[in-house]
Amino acid sequence: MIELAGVSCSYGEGDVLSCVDASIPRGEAMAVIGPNGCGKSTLLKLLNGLVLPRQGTYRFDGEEISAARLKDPRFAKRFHQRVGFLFQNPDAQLFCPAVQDEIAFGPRQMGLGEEEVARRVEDCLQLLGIGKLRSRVPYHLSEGEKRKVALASVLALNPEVLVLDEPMNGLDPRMKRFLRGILLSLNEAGKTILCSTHDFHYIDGVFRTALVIGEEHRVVRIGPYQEVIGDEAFLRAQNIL
Amino acid sequence: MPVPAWLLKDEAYLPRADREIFVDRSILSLLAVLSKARSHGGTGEEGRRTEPLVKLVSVFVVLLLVSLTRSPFFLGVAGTGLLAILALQPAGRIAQVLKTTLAAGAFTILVLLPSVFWGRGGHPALITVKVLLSVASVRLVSTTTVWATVPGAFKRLGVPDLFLLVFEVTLKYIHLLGEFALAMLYALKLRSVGRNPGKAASLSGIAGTLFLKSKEMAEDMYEAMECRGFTGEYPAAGRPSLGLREAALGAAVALLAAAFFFLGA
Repeated sequence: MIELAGVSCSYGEGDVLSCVDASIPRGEAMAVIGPNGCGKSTLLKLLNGLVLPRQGTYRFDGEEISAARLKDPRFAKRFHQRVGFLFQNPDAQLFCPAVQDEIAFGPRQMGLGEEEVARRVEDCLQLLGIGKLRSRVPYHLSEGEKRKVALASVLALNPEVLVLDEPMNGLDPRMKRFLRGILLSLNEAGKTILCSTHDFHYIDGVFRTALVIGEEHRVVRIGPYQEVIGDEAFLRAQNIL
Repeated sequence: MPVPAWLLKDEAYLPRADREIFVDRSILSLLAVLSKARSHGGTGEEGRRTEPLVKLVSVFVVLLLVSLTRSPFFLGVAGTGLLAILALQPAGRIAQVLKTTLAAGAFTILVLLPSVFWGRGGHPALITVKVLLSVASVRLVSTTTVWATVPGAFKRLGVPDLFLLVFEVTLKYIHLLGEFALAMLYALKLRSVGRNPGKAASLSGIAGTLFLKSKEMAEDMYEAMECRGFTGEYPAAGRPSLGLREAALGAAVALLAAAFFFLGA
């Protein structure tokens, strides 16, 4: 579903991602791990088309994701509907006056009828256990609640791929366990999940594959999640543990 | 709660066309501002070579002399000196300086054009050259100076602490709030998967969140500064590092001042 071939990215000076090759099949649950500043967030932005390769190609479902392709608004909108992104900072993602408007924002744009929009909003509120927040102003919620609202607003679009940038940051243990359960359910439901994280304890059992980016901004290992996480010497050498 | 049935199916969705020009342009403008902020953040080695204090004093003297003079000869000398300094810069920087300078010059000509028709032939040309020289010298200093070093130079010049504090916080927040605003615009773009009839509402929501965020960040920073013993007094910067470059720049400005008196004010 996602093919990266020799992808390098830069923000002007030096590569923040260098020669990344990866193949991610539909329904995969992949953890993107690495030390701070290695390029994890850039990789996730690349997968969403926010950053484009300086070199190499990124193919999504066989189509190359390039500046020219994303200039086609219909293609770009369909692509953004299929790939949902949960930002590291949930504040950046919430701009509607109430939680229910936030969740309804995407479905309304998709032209769904008000009944279907209301059903999706209600389902997302219940799925994430935030029914009581429906009329609250998103900005004034707690960090964990904001993250749940942001996730609900992404899920309401029914994306095929869910990209999450450090979703466990700032959450208390109960919230982390809750999020783990949601990720498991979504992956079992067929969603492809790509997630950067440092919180290995709380995401145990969610991921099948781990992609490790080293301090040199290159992919240093892709393999079964349990095998990678069990290799303590490797993780220490990569400044991950 | 189990995953709802609609989440288990792939979405059969064909987007309708919609215009996203404003969001795209806002993203590009913010990226340009952030890129400029980064390039002035201390990465350029050549920016560190000349002491900012000397550059600030020099540009102040140049601006003063250029604004006071009515002599075309003096402006010619100043222009030649400026061109010589500019010629020593990398191509990218020359382009940056010329772009702003020529734009300012063109605007000045446009504004002064009516006075030419009213018979004030010489003055518009003199004023235009003064604008070109002033803008070019300020732009040259701004492109060769690391912003973080400017408050230190201002402090040595006796600029009040309150101004320095506001200046430094502004520099810092251009970057921080810019990054945050960019993330919000990206989020809006990613979630704009169809036709959004309420673009203005979305953008005002972003502006509102940005305002709240800036207030929160300002409060946090003030508390952090108090915790670190900030009493409103800006710390005095260390000794300026004076070397050959500073001596050369000082000599050039001294020669310019001499030319001002010899060629006539």
